[in-house]
Formats: sequence, C-alpha cells, structure tokens
Amino acid sequence: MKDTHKHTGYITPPDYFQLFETDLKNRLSTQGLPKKPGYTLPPDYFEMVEGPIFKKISKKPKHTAVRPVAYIAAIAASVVLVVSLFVQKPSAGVSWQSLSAEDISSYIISGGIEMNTTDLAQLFKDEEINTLQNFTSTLNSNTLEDYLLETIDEATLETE
Amino acid sequence: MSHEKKLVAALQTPKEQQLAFSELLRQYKQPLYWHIRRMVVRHEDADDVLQNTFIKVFRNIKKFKGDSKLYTWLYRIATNEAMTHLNKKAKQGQCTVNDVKEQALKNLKSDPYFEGGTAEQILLKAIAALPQKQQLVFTMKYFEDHTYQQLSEILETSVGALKSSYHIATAKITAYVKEHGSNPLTVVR
Repeated sequence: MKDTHKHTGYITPPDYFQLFETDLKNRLSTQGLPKKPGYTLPPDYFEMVEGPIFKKISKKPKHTAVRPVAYIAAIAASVVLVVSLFVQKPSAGVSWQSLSAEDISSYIISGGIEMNTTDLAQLFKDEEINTLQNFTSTLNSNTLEDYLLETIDEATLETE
Repeated sequence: MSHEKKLVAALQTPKEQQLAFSELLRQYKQPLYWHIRRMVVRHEDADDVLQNTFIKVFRNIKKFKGDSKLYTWLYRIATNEAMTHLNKKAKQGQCTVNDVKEQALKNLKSDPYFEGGTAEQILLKAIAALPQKQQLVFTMKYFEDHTYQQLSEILETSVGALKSSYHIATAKITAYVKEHGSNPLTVVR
C-alpha cells in the first residue's frame, strides 16, 4: 500500500506503530476489570483533613538539636568503656572476641552503662571530639532528617 | 506567568504562604489521597501519609527550584512517603512490603472504608502480587489515568520502559484474574 502520509506532512511519534498494538492489547485485556478499586473514606474527610495539617505546620519544629555529637560520643564512649572493661578484667568464658556488636549494643541500650554526656566527654581528648564534630558536620540535613524520621518516634521528640 | 508558577512563588513568599498552601491543599489533597490510598490500602494509613506528605511539602517548598513541575514533585513526595510508610510497617512486622499489603488486603472485607466486591478484591490482590515498580506503574496508569509522559517524569523512568512495565503488569494481572476469578474463594480469604 502506498504511504500517502508522505504527501500530507503528518508524522507519528517514534515507534508509534510498534507500540500501538501493545497499547491496544492492554486496553482490551483490562476491559473486563473493575475501573475503581472500591475504597471509600469517612464522610467529610477532605474537609476535615486540612485542620490537622495546618495544626502540624504551625507548630515550629522543636529544636531537639538532636545533639549528634553527644549521641555519637555516648555510643563511642560506651563501646570504649565496654572494651576496656573486658580487656582489663577478662571473665572466665567471656572474651571480647566472643561478643558481637549486637550484644554490646543491647547491653548499652538496656541501661548496662549509665553515664551522662559530661562523663562521656571527659573520656575523650579534645582532638577526638573535634574528629567527631568534623564527622557529623559532613552529614547533610536531608540524610540526618531521614535518619531521625526512621529511628525516632514522636513520643521521644515530644519529651526532648 | 503560569498558574503553577504563581502558586509556587506565593508558597515561597512568607506573607502569601498560608493562603497559597490552602490553595495547594484544595487542588491536590484528593488526587494525592487516592494515589497514596491505592499504595497503602487502609484509610488510616493513607491519612497519615497524606498529612506527612503535605507537611514535607510545606517544609521543603523553599527548596523547590522548578526543575520539574509542581505536580511531578508532589507525586514524588507522596510516593516516597507511602513507600517509607510501608517499609516502616514491614520493618516493624519483620516481613516484606508485599506481606504488609497482602495482610491489609486480607482484612478488606471487614474494612468499613471498602465497598468493593469480589472482582475488586481479586484485582487488588493481583496488583499486590506484582513487583513494587510494576504495581506503581499499573496503578497510576490504570486507575489514575496518568499519561506515560507524566509517569516518566514522576517515576524518572523512560516512556519505553514504562510501556513495557505496564504491558507485563497487565499480562500478569489478567492471568491472575483468569486463574482466580472463576473461584473467588481461592483468593478472597
């Protein structure tokens, strides 16, 4: 058949005829399927939803300041302390090698070590604290925000 | 200046921000809600994610440079928030995102905010059985009537790849429906 379109100047998007058949088949095969999934919502939901959103955005984000240096310092110091305890007084049957990072982490989280940030800061030399500060300053705010949203629940933020 | 550009400019101007944000909510709360709802299934989850989406939009609007359309940017945020929500639930339940969705779909029958019948439930289960990206492509094309060009901008995938993804998804869904449709009890538990 003669390609009469050549005389009209009309053109098609690239691969149009190759894709047309696929598109048509897709439309035909989905014809018998429901067009809506059947979800509903509470009456007046869309009128009501704006209230909580405005309430939340009008709250100034609390400067939990999250004190990354303090947190990292706390964790690092706790690990150093645990290591030093085990190195100095090896208990029968327990060695540093036999402990996993998870064991140490659980020990710290369950309150096995009680120290405040001042105590922890004293364990570090100024240079070490500077190194930690340099490390945390390389974290960009989005990474930090994502991490916090993932790991800190609202209750914690409220109490901070 | 287009309507969208005016809206963005107003959103980025402290004095006009509140009013502009109301306008943004008016325009996008419904389409974004349904987009999120189709991803997370339960109304309560969709409500959480919708609120988080708009809060994120509000807090980040100053960073919006207009490299993409506002519409595209909003859908990307909503999609990411919904995925984050699903991942969080999966992590809490120590299972996969698909397990989370399957569980939610199992409970649809008793969900007060679901009025679909067996056919809808089978279709939703067929969609949930797809890989995550195919679920998104199929849902956004089939239920939300996005064009491939819009999908390409939102999902940052080429039109060709999207068409292929949609075609594969459609084939899998029709096969699933054919297999389970004749005996709904095998899928509607």
